Amino acid sequence: MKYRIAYDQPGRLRVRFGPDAFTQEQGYGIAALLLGCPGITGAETCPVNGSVLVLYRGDGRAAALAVLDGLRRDALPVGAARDADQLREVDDHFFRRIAGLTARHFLKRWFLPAPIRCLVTLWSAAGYWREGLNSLREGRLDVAVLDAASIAGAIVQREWATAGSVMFLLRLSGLLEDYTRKRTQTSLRQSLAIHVDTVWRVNGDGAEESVPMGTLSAGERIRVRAGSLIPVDGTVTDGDAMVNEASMTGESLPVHKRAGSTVYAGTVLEEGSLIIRITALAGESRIQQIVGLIESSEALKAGAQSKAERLADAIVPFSFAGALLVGLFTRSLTRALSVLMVDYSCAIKLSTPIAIISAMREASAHRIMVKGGKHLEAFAEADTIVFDKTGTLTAACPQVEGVIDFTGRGEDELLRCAACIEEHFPHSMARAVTRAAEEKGLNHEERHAEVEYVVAHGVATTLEGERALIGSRHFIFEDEGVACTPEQEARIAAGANGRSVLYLAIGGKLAGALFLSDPPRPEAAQAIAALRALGVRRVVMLTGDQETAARAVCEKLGIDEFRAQVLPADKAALVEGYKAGGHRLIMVGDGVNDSPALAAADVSVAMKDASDLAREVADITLLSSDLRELAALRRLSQRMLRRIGRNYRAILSINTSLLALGICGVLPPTTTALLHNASTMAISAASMRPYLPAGQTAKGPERREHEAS
Amino acid sequence: MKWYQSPRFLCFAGGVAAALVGAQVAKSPKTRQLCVNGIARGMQLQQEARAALQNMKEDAQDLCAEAKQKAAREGEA
Repeated sequence: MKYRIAYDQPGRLRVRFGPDAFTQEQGYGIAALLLGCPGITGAETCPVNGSVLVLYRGDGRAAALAVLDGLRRDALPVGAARDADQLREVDDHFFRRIAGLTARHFLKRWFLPAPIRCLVTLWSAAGYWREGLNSLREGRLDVAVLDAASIAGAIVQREWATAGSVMFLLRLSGLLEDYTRKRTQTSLRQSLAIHVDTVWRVNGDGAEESVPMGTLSAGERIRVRAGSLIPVDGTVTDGDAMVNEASMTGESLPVHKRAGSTVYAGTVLEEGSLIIRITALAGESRIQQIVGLIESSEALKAGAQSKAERLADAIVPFSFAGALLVGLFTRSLTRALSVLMVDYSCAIKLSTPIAIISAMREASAHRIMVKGGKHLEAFAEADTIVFDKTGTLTAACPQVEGVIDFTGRGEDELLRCAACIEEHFPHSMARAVTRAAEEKGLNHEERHAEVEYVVAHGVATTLEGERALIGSRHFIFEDEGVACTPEQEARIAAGANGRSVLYLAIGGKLAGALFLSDPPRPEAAQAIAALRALGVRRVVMLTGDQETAARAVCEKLGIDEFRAQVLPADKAALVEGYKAGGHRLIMVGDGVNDSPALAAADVSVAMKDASDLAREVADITLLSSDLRELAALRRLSQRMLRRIGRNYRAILSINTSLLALGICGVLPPTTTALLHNASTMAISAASMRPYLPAGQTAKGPERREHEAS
Repeated sequence: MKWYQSPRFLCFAGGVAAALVGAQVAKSPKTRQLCVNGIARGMQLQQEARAALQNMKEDAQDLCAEAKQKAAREGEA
């Protein structure tokens, strides 16, 4: 195939094959082929003009040209869109439609002979009239009726250009809305989708082969090894492993799975290996269902526009009444129509979704998914925020917080022993122990024999000739029969203080205990302080922990209120209680057990690693685990409300002045219509400006807000 | 003035003739061919316009990338 080099500078090469050289799918295939070459860092294709853009390092250029030279029209590779491609296509599509719409509008205006232009305008207007009549037939006097009436008014007055402009503006707003919704949905789907490309399928004879995910079907068996994400819902048929289900349940400690257990897509196999019989493929499983639910729901649109549309609809009868009154008093159709031409609803209907949608886009740039505009509004207006502790204020990553030594070897020595035994295991608790030893600079030599691992219970080995055990209470005292004196019991209970305990026994005697807890996220205190500065008056923490432990966390984070030892079922009742007290409330949670509370709150936020159910229920999902994004979102949502308020006032004052001038006959309807449209465009364009200054991310300096209104 | 000289009749007769001729013209393969060609040309033009627009957009992107690269190099120097 022939191509022309359109751009060639170090690191960037663009060639063009010409229009229709390859299809969209073949374009993806070519990009995949290029990306497979060493030195090539990026590849984009566009079938419209047959262009291929290659970004490379080193001698990637030669490799790219070799690939392109080798392409044959009858044997082009076929591929699927990557995430970046999908987003780019949404952007390109929008760009083309805006360009098309604008070009058509002005070409019509400049080149079409007047009679044909009138016919075309009539034809376009018919669509609006049909919609207006439908509304009237259903007994509604809404914006559709007003749109139809103002277009009709303009046409009756032979103001063809005005009618055309009104319709152009209406289409533009529809296009913008459509684009932003599509883009939000695409990035949401990508953020939730699990990226597992190939899996190991176990065939009937027990042999394993690597196959693409897409070829699997329910009932087949796959092998999942340590460190992998489980890509499907299924039942374990063989194997023994620890699975971290934090993404499902919010529980940070891994769960033991063996034959007969059920595993879920999106959970992580921490150690061991499993053979899983597939019950639901990723395509059918929950994450995909949730995405489907969000995609099909009208909530996104309704939320973003409900307020503006309600307000716009509410104004319509007044516009008609005004036109009628003016008509009666002045006996002039022109002046009556000038009232219809300057309607408030057009500007409100256009600028409000743009303001909301810009906020949603900006939120998604901050990796925050908002399911609808009304949630942003609720987030801006809330005065109370309720956090679940585990997985929300903490990272669900346990850490060693204390050691008790019963042998006189010293706490460091004990930690060294524990780390020596545990270091071979990629288990979250074991990692916590090794990490603690490393942080203290406790190096150790290998002093133990072969390590034996008892899944879900602990580790047994021989350390310097003595049997050493480390593990859970059940493993040490019941399975292994190690004795524990009442004094030791009391010291452990006092030291534990609600934290998890790991027991260490050497030579059949209890040698010590390690206390592990899940510390708060490092940025949590800063995030809470920022939220307070932004008008959140009450910060509450809910936790299943003991009161003393909860109090310690609250003091560290500057939280003024907490509820300790809360049972999962009580969370929703507590939220309801706050709401009954007149508080508008944000609930932040992550686990399955938080879902009722999330649903009960005015607006709910699910954390990055939240369970599917929590994400499904939550109105807002954080895609980064940084809590400071909550403050960024608060700032963003407040600015959005302020901008909408400012827009309302601007629209009201500008259009009332135009109306008065029109009624008094100072300005002819054409001029008022022109000024009305120009002001609508200006306000809408201003609504597109970013809310947060560039570079001010969640990590940027926290600034106190000076409320303008 | 004879009845067939009246402007009304002439208009009517002209209209009938135009309709007859128009129907014939519309039915003729030549007209059809002309229309098909016209529409095809229009579609082709639209596609060319799209390709031209895409070319312009890409050239602009390339220029932007080059300027950025240059700025980065100058920043390093």
